[in-house]
Amino acid sequence: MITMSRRTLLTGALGAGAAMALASCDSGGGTDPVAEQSANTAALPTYVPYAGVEPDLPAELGRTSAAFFAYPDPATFSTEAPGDGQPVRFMGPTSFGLPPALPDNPFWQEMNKRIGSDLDISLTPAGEYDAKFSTTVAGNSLPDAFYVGSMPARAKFMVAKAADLTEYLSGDAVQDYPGLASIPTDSWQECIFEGSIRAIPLNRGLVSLPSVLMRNDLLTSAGIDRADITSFEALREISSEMTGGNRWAWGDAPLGHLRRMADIPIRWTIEDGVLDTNLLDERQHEALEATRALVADGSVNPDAAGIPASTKKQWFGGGQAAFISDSFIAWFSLYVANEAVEGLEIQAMGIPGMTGGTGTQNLPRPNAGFTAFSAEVGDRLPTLLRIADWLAAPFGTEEYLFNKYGIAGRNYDVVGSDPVPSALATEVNIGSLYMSDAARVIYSPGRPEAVQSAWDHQSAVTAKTVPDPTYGLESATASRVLNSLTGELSSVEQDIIYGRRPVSDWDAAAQAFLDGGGTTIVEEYQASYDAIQAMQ
Amino acid sequence: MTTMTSESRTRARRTMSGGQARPSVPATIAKGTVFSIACALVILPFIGIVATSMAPAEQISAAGGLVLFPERLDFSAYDAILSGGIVTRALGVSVLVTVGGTAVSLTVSSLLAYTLTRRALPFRRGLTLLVVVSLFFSPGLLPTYLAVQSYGLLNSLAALILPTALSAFNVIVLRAFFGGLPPDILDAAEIDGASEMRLLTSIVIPLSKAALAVIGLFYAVGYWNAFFSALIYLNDSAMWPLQLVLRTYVVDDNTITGYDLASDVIPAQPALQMAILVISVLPILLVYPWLQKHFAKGALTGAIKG
Amino acid sequence: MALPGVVLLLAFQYVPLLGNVIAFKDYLPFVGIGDSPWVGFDNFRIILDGDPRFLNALTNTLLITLVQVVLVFPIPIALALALNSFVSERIKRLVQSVLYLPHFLSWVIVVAVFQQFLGGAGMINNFLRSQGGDTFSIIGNPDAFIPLITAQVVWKDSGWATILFLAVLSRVSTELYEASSVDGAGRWRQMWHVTLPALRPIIVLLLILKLGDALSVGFEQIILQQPAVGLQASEVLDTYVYNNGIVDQNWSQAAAVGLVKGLVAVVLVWGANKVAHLFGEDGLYRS
Repeated sequence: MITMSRRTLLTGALGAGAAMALASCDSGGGTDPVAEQSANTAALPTYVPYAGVEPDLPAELGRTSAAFFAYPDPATFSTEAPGDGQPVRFMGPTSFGLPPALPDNPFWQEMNKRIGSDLDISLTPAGEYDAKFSTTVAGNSLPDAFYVGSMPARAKFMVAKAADLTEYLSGDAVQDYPGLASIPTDSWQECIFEGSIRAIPLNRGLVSLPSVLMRNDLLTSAGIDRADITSFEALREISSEMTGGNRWAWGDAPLGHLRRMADIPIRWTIEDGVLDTNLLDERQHEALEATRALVADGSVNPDAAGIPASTKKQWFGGGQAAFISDSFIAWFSLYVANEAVEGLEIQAMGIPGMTGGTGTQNLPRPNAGFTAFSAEVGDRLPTLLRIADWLAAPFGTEEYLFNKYGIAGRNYDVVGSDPVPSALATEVNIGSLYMSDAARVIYSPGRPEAVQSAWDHQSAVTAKTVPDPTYGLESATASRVLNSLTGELSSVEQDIIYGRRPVSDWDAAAQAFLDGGGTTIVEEYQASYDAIQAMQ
Repeated sequence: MTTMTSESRTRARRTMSGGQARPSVPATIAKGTVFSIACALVILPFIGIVATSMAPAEQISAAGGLVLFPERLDFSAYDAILSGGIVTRALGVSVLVTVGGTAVSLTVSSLLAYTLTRRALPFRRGLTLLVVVSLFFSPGLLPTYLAVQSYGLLNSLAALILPTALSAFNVIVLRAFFGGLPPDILDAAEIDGASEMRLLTSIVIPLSKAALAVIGLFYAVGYWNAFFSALIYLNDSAMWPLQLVLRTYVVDDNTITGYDLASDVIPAQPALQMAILVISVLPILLVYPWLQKHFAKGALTGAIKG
Repeated sequence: MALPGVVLLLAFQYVPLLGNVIAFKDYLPFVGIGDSPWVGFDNFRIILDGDPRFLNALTNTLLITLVQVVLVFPIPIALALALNSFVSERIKRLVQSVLYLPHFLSWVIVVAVFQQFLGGAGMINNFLRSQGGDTFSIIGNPDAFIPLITAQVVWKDSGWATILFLAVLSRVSTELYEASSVDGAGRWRQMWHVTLPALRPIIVLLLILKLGDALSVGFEQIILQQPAVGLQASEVLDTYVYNNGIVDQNWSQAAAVGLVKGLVAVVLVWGANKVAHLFGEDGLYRS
């Protein structure tokens, strides 16, 4: 085990200045001798942003993603094919339709040629990936590389089954892998288990910002200026105005947004190094009351509860809903999906305080998961990392253009300098981007105005933010009961919002969350946090 | 028969081919009405599904969901699914698994069900219990996977057939059918020295065509609709059956496990989702009328006469 | 002759069933069944500690089962009888073909179709609203939940379920009908004395099997619709286990509940079988 003397300090790296986890320490009774020896010795990989391109609008950690109006003149990133001629087996989830198989897929063939190893990818529809992952783990048949699905006692799993990457990626060592080095530091915190780097992140950064997307064209034609949404009262009134006939302002009951307006966007808090929850804070009642009021006003589509996300997006495209809660990045896919809608203009809703002023945006966890290599790959590890590095070639490079858009003239056409996907674009969806991915930027071919609006929105709402203080911390109890506790709590939320229970029932439900394991989880996070602090 | 009254003679003349009495007029009208309504309730959504699969995107978008009459026909959803040869290949896999699986299942189930009807056979009670109890205890995902793995079946089409080849429910139902045959026919054949296998193949099976057609259909539909075993047991998506391939076009499921992978994916358009439905149901629709002929045949009638 | 069947049963049912020993362990997939520690009956606490949410789920389950046995179960029988009495073979086949169609739709689609037609923003309500009329609330109304899921089950599977009964009816010999006709039996008497007795064994058999399934009611159908109506109205045993264990990948707990459900089913079926014997039916098995 190597001990890194150099540490990448993170304090201040995230907007709100939360001290983040450098490493985690399993408090669930870890007597693993290896874990004790190596505890908290890993330094995070040094962040070396790609210098080959200058974004049109700059990235700032915790504030904005880099944004590009057009694809820059692509620079070549790699010097040689990263592969070793042997196939690389990867298992991951997919949210795309199945691409043509290798023999019928020129993109995939070209990918294998460029990498110098055959990518043997086993895909599973995202909704079923956990089942696939669990059986594969139980059968001890993990492939060379795998997307890490849910797993109870995940830290122990990672230490037992995932290759230790610390030696290759910690500190300045990562500079041998410039693609991976260009992934921001905060992404790597999730990849450290019991003091060692065990995975590579799939960075999303601030493009996962939880947002409310709006049909601004509909607001404009109703004579409403989105800048007038300055308090809950104003929002409530505008919601009523946007409702009528078979149209509703909201495609969902916006509890998340109203919690942001009430300054309690996430349930975990940290103050002076003390972790806690705000579940018993009275502003919870305020946010619930407000959401309930929108529902009672009839401003929320009556079928909103439990509707599939795709139906919500259809309502948005069809104008049956003017506001929907979604991830920031859906801004662009909604443009693509609704190209037929005339005059479509999407904006994201600002976050005022409940009674005016400014609400609080929560910063998303920076990754859409992470990928690990099997502990059994042995000395192929550097090769696999080089392939991952190649797949993480940053925006602006030739490799990125290929990885994301495919072969020019086949999978996309060049319009100006932008790649515009063609009918054969589906060939690209082989799932390589779930193995390793570049840091995300704001870019949508041919929509510079949307890019500007989106970046402006990020910049505006991140003026006042909180990060998730539990990000990068470990809690054995959380890995075993947090989903069910959260599910129980959100079913009570739904009951309250839809008027099936009084708002006053919230406190009992929150107390049940805490008694059922929430309190223990806070204590475990605290211990994990303290261990990291002590180390620094 | 010679003492038949004139009244009963008329009655007999009025019976239909199946020997049943002719229903009264009000009853027929009532029945016709009920069935017309039932059929309408079923067909209306299907019209919606088919129409939406062929409707232009703007119309569906304006309707906010299903449409009942397409303004113009637009087959782009079918183009999108059928291009690239993926669906055609998957269709082949599905047909293979369904036909092969149904053959295996019917054979094994008939043998087992027949055995269970033979009172003279030893261990019959034990066997019955073995079948019945298996109906109520399901082994769970992980243990089943481990078993299939240890038999070396992973990544083979056999993994889509063998683990589900025997349905205890179907065996029990089949046994009830077999057991309901008039014992004297079998007894007579037994006295003539026919072997058990011969009893099964030349008496029981020919007399149970309707039951076998039904159980065969149960199995076939089960194989046809199955996607989960392919998802779990096959790593190579080139071997996927139709239902699993089509499943990847429906992006919604991320809400259950909470992966945020799909947020930048363009959702499947309703036309595409409905086209997927049409494509996955159509083959069964085509086969059904052919099977249906067997349901109606009262194979027993002739046998008893003889 | 039974050998292939027995081998399949042993290989894919009973051998994996041994794996359910994880019900008594704290099983982690990466540790393995053998090495996971024993925890006694800890995993059974979810159903044994009398949590009011569990009791609510159990009540809902039994209520839904009761509704399904009393209201849903007879429908395919009635349909089969009515279909069987059709004069025209062609119409009979056509109707049957139409009614079995919905069976091929997955629950996701059935739920979506019901929402499209009956939802608060569905076709019918949108029409009423555009005419200035009153709207109704079925989807998302906890009081209407059991009627709604019952209607969905009837819509989806009644037609399909007739197949089995029609297969039985196809065996009723023409002679029996003719003989009863000759004896002056009318339509109703024929049904009572010829048709129903022919169906009785299969009805009893299916009822007993249904009883064995009493604790499992439409998991997928219900979990899809829970967010719309809340857990008070919609939580059933299987969704309870899902929401309180399987979402956190608690395989041991799922196995524990599976074992208990299996035991309950065996007891219920054994009892029902005895009752059937009292009434002179063969039931599920008779030694």
